[in-house]
Amino acid sequence: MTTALTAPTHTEVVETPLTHRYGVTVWISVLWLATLATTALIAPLLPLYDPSDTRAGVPLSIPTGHNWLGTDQLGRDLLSRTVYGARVSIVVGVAAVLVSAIIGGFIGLVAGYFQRRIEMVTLFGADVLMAFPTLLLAASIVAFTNSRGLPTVVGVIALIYLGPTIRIVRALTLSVSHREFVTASRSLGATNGRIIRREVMPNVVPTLISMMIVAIAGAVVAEGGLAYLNLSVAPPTPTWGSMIAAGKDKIDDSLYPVLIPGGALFLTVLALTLIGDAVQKRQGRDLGPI
Amino acid sequence: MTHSRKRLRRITATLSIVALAALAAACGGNDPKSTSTTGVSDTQAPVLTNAPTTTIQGATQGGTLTVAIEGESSGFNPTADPWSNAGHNVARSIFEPLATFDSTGKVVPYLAESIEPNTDATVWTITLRSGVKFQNGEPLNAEAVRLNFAAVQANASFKGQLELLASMKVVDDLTLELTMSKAWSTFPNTLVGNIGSQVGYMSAPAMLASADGGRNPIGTGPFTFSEWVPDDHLTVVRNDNYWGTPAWLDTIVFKPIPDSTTRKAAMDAGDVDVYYTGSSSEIIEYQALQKDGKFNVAIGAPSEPDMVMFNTKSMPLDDVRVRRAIVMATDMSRVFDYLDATGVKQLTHGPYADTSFWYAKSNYPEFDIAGATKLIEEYVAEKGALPDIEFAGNQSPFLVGLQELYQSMWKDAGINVKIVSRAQAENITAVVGGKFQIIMWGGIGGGDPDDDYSDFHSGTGLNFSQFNTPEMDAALDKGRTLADADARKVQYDIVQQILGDGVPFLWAGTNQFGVISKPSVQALGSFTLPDGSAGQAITGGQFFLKDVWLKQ
Amino acid sequence: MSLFRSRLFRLLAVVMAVTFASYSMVSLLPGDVVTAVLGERATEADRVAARHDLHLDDPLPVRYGRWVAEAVTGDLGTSYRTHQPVSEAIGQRIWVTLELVFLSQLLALALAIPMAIFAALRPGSWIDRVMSGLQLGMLAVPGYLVAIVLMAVFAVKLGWFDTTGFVHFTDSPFGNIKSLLLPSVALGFEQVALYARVLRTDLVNTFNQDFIWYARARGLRTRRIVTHHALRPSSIGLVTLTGVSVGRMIGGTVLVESIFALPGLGRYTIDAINNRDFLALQGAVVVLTLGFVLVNFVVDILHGVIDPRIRAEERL
Repeated sequence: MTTALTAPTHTEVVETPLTHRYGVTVWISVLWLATLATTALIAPLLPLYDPSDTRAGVPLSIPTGHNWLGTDQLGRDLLSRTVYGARVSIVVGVAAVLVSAIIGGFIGLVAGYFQRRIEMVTLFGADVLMAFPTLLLAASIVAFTNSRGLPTVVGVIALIYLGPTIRIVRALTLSVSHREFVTASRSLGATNGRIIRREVMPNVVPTLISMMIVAIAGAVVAEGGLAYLNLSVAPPTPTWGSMIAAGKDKIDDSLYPVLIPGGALFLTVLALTLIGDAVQKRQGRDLGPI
Repeated sequence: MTHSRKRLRRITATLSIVALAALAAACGGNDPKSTSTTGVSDTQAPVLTNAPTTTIQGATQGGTLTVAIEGESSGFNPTADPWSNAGHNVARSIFEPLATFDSTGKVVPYLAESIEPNTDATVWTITLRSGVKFQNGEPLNAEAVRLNFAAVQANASFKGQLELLASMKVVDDLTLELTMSKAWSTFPNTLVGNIGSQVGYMSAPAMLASADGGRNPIGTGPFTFSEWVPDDHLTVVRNDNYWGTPAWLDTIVFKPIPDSTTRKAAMDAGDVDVYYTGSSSEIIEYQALQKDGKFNVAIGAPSEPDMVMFNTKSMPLDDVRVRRAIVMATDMSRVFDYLDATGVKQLTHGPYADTSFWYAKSNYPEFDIAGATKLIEEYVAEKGALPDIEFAGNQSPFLVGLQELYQSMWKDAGINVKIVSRAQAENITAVVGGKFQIIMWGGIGGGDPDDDYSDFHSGTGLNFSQFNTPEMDAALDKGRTLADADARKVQYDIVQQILGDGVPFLWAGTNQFGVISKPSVQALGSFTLPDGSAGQAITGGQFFLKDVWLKQ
Repeated sequence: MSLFRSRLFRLLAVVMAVTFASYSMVSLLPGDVVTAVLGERATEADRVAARHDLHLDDPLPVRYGRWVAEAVTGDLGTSYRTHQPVSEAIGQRIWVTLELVFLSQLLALALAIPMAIFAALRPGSWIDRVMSGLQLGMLAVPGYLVAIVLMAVFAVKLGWFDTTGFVHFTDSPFGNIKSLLLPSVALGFEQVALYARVLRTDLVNTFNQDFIWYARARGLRTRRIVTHHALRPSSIGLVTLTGVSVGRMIGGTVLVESIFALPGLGRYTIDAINNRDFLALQGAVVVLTLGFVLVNFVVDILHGVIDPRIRAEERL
């Protein structure tokens, strides 16, 4: 579920009708993400039920004064579980994309800049990674290693994004390293390190960041998919995906156990997509066609 | 909210547990049982209740019955493929057992004419009915039975079913003499075709000889195998050359639908004609609908109770106070609420239901959270902080939910557990290797106490809780040498007292299955034995469809 | 032609690398197959024998080599769990997955192309904005959530569709489509937005090109301009994306097939993973990968057909 895959072809997009309106939507999106992140961060300090407390309310209750968003099949508070679930989603989303950006960014940069054999090998590696059915790759690693800690989940989702990241960064680097200012500084005797730091990086990183924002959305969704297969972080740590999976069994008794985490997931992915979209479009103009 | 609207997925739990138990048990089978020299089981579950008493009068031949089953089997060779309920229900249309239960729950010969022991139950003689033919025309004779038994003995994971069988001798065409390595008084119990004991089902010698036999099953049953598309459907058609009264249905289609929600939805939508469930809430729901004539509900006898197993050699569970505290911290009424089982499941205080003949009262603790907290405080004062304990289960979200409920209740007493969700195969590996602490388990209790010999005895290598005492070993050994039920019970009372004191298991309520069908489906719950008397049609989640017919 | 050949070589190399990687992964990661095969009551001797029978005692490269040698003859081994030849099992299931992916693609394109055209004809109009907002919304709903909601509403509440498995086309063409409709919608949902966005952008760019202005000046009807002039040069991005999407859709089939209980390859694979059924997993991986790589190969070739310039200036 890699939204980032398609990104590079569209950085050149010119005017989009919604561009000038993004001001508001992007602002609202940022606000939602900030609220979510803050709430998740300070969750233990908030007057919330313990997310695994099965006595928070009557099982499968609708929203009430006690349980603002209702309860799940075990009587746990959905508000609290959704807030705590955000922790996993945010950490997994951000960390996985960061890991793949750092590793894939480095590899892609080296490949795009030095080219020749390194490039061939890395591109082949990226192809192999991308030819693997992504969710299956992640699922089999978690299942076979039998480790359902946060690091494993972050690792496997990072792996999903590694291939695309390598390809994108390499393409960006390639396009930059042939431009006049790079050739010029090279002829002036600048070292490779200096050129990469001074000329290539500033041109690659902003685009990479805008793609990472969209990729985070994809990673959050991927975590949900793993959790649905019961291959994400072990219970009782709530994650949105596992909440949805558990709620599915009771869907004709109560919709809330699916709708609340599903809604949170929807809003978060939407916010990230909107922001990523806006940032990419602005950069599309700033950077010029790649 | 009315019960009929409640659709909790109790079945997921049962099925997972049952499947686990099936795997567990099937991989080695039940153990030789002993007692009753009559060759008749004096326990096995009460008679089925509530079954529609439709008679076969007015039955008409024809029609296709679609049956939802909960999973796919690896194949249909009774001597090689371990079956859960799903596999047994398919197999019971194609194969027939040497013995079966009559309507009072006694074991009676079925394909056999008689199954007789010598005086000390070390030699058994099976006399077969004459004229029984396999669907490929081969006769069911003593040699065929011998080949079936030999195939089981040759299978690494099945041979335990006939552990005590030392030698076989074909006396004449219909008579097979079996010599046991020691007294085995409950031998006929092994021949009914049960989870973990499939040796009773007779397959055609040609099928056993074929490498592909499990994919082309041939038995003596009222239906002949027709087509199998794994994970999609298996079709059987009426065997018109059946040795007994032919079946009524033309065709039965078994559809494996692993997802419990989907399976029930298929029944509600009318996509399938027969559906069975261990979910109490669903049974209640369908019983309400039965009154409106929308469904028929037949309820089988209680089977093995749900349970949670402790590894009594693992720190801190090696301390009985911790095990007792866990049981005392468990409010079973909340578990029943989660399972929607209140009013259907019964509380259990040991391996046998309180209503069972075998039940004996013991010191198995009642729910008492204060007491649990006190025990843990005692433990902590004496041995230091209580470490986190691993609590393993499988990956069904519904079962994980149940684990989370236990987890939160135990936490109230200061016991912290970490949930580990693994594939069934992994859990079995862990249990075999003793690499578990607490695990959702099943397959113990509910039937003849001697069935549980290997689970409780020290010398079997299959006592996975690793809880045993010399006294319990002695009682178990003594129990299998006795013939008289009351005398046996004295021994098994001792076993239950010791289990109640030692608490190697948390007993989580009885299980019963309901078989739901469309109103047009007749005589589900009826099973006529060859002599015309009534047999037990539904045993646990397994049933016979021979007598079933469709009202046009 | 040499380009074609080098592509083909690369394709083979990728498939080999993927299968070797998955083979090693399955072999090296913990989880004992033998216990899964024999169960808890087997003796140590039984285990050793089974280990030998399954060739688990050979070194990894030898085992992989043997697997490849058999795989090229179409023999992917036998699943230890179902005793069914893996190639036979895959043969039975692959059509479900293929049909599911195909139907989803069809649905997605059928919705996305008109959406894109209407939006691109009037960039910035209310219709464009509504579409754009709608698409962003669609992008934000994961397929598994769509699947559950569709199932809850249309199958459970309204009862319009069966929640159960799969009807074969040969049994009932209508029933077949009906049994796959909800799963296809769930799987294709995200794709609609992706496709529409890409095509809209490319169309807007094309509409700004001289030859379109020229066509307009000649007084051609908009409909004709779109279908005869603009669509083809604008579809390269869409074609690429359609190919690339096959990969992610294959991932999606795992979830969708599990939710709707379809006897497809995705569910087979996840069952194989959960049961350590390594030959089944290996077989599924090779088929899925091969499918993905082939689709992209075809997409590459299609590029050349759609836009002849690409054949000349080929990158990568």
